[in-house]
Amino acid sequence: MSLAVSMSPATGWTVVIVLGIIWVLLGIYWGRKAKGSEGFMLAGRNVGLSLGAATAMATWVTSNTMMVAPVLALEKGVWGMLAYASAAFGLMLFAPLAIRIKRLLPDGFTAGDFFRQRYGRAGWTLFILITLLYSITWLVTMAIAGGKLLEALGGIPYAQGMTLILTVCVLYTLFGGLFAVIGTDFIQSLIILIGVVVIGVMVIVRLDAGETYRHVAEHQPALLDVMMPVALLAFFNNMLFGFGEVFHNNVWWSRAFAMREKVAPRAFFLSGLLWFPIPIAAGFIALAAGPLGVNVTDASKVGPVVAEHVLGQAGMGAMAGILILVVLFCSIASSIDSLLAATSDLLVKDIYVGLFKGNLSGRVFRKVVAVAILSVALIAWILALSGWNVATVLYSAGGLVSSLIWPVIAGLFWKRCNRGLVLAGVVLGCSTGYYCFFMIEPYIGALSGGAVSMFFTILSRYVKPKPFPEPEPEPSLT
Amino acid sequence: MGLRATVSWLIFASTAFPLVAAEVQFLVEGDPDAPIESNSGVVALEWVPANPDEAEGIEFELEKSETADFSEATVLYRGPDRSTILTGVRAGDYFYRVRTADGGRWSKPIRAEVEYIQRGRLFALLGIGLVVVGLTVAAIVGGHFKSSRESS
Repeated sequence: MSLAVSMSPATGWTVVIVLGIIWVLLGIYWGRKAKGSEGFMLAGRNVGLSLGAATAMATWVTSNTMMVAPVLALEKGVWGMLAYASAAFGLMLFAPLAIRIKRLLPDGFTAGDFFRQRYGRAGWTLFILITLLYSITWLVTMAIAGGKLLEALGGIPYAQGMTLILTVCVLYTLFGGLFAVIGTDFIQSLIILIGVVVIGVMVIVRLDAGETYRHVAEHQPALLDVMMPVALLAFFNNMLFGFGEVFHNNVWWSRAFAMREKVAPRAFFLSGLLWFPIPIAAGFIALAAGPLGVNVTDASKVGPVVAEHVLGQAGMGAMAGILILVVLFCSIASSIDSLLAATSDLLVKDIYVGLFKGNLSGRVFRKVVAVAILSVALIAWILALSGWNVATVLYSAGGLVSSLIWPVIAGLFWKRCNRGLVLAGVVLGCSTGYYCFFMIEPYIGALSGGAVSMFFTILSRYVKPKPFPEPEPEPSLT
Repeated sequence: MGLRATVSWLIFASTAFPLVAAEVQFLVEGDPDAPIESNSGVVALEWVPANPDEAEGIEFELEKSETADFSEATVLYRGPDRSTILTGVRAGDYFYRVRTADGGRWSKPIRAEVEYIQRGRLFALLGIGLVVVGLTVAAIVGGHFKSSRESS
C-alpha cells in the first residue's frame, strides 16, 4: 500500500498557505522585539525555560524523526526504535556543555567563536567546512522531504511544494530572526506532540497486544531478537551521530547563547526528555503495519501510510491527511527555520565579520543577515530542485560530526591539550567514518569516526600538551 | 539495507524471463538466477503480471517457504500491490513465489539468502561502541563536576 493522496491539491494548498500565513504573521510580530544583532541572532539572550525546551525539542523533531524512525522500527524492531530515540541523549548531555559554554563564552555568538578561540584558525576552518557541509545538506533533505510530503499528501507538484515550504520559513526567519524561530517552534512543538499522541493512541486502540506480538513473532521474528546485529550497531552509531550533531552544530550553540544562564542546562535536559518518546511512538506506528494488514511497499513512507490507514479506519476521511500534513509540516518547518537562522549566523559572524572584516553597524546588519538567509535558502532550493539525492550525503556524514564530539568536550572542560593532535584526529576521524560507511557497514560510520577522534584527543592530553588560550570576550557585532 | 529487487521494464522484458512462461514474475536486478542477498533481515520483492496493460484490478498472492518445493508454504500477502518489503527475517534461505490470486500459475520461485554480520565482528564493534559512548559520557559528567567544584 502506498501513500494515497487523501486530499485535493486545493485543500493541500489551503492548509499550507494558512499555516504559512500564521507563521509569517507571528514572525513579523515577534520580529518587533528583535533590536540589534543580539536581539535578532540570539533573541536578546533572554529565552526562558518553556520556550527554550520547546525550541530545542521542536528543532530535533525533524522530518527524519517522523519518517526515518518508523523505518528503523520496521526494519530493526524494538532496538531500531531505541536506536533513533537514543539521539535524545545528545540533547540531555548538551545540558552540562551549555553551562560551560555560557561561562567560557558569555558574549559568544556562534560555535565558530569557540573553535576559533580554542583551536585557532586551522581548527576554525575545519569546523566551518564540516558544519557548513552538514548544515546545508541537512537543510536540503528537509526541503526535499517537505516537497515530497506535499506531493504525496496534497497532490501539490514537488517543485511548488518544496518552494512553498522553504519560502514560508525564509519569510518568518527574515522578519523575526531567532525570536520568530523560537516562538514558532513553541507552537509547532505543541502541534507535533498533540498529533503524535493522537495518532499513537488511535493505533494502540486498534491493536490487540497479544495478536500484535504473535504476528511479529511469526512473520518478523528477528525484530524481537535481543541480539539483532544491525539494530545493536545502529543503537551506538545513532547515539554518537546525535552527540556529534548536537555538540557541534550552531543550531544548538545559538540556543545555548540565547537562553538565560540557569535556564540553558535545564531546557536542554527537559527537551531531551520530551523528545525521547516521539521516535518511539512514531516507530511503534510502523511496527503495527503488519498486524493492521498494511502491506509496506515503500519503507520510507511507512509511518504516514500506517497513520493514514488508522485515521481512515477511524472515519476521519480527508481529515486524516490534513492532520498528518499539519504535524509533518510543523516538524519540517521547525527544523528548516532553525537551520536557516543558525547557518546564516555562521555566514554573518564567522565569514562576513570574522574572515572578511565586514561592517555590521546600523542598518547594514539587517541587510547582511537578509542576504545570508536568502543565500543559504537559495543554495538549498537549487540543490533540492535539482533532485540530487543528498540523503546519502547526510547519512554518511556521521563520521564528520562524531569527529567533533571530543574536540568540543576537550575545549570546554580541559585546560590543555596538543591542538595539532586533536585536529589530526578530526581529519582522520572524518576519513575513517566515510571509509567505514561506504566500504564496511553503514551503521559504523559515526562510531568509527568518533572512536578515532576520541583516541587522538585523549592522546593529545599526554603528548606535548599546551594550555588553551584564555577565552577572549567577543566584541559586539553592531 | 535489504536488496531491492527491481529493474526497468525494458530490461526485464528483453532479457530476464520470457513473459509467456508464467502469468506473474518477480522483477530482479542483474542475474535472474542469483539469490537476493540481505545482511539486515530486509527482503524487498517486486513482481509484475505478464500483461500489465490488462492487469488493472487483479490481485496477487505471495508465498514463502523454507524449501524449494514449497511443501510447507505460508501466504505472506494477498492483494493488488505489486511489491512488498519483508522485515525481521531471520538468517537462512527462503523461497518466494507469486501468482494471481484467482488461482493463476505460480511464478518461478526466487531465493533470498539472509546472513547477518559475523558474531565476532559484531561483538568487537559493539565493544568499541560501548567504550566510546562510556568514555564520552564519563568525560562530560566528570568534566562538569570538576568545573563546578572549581568555580564554586
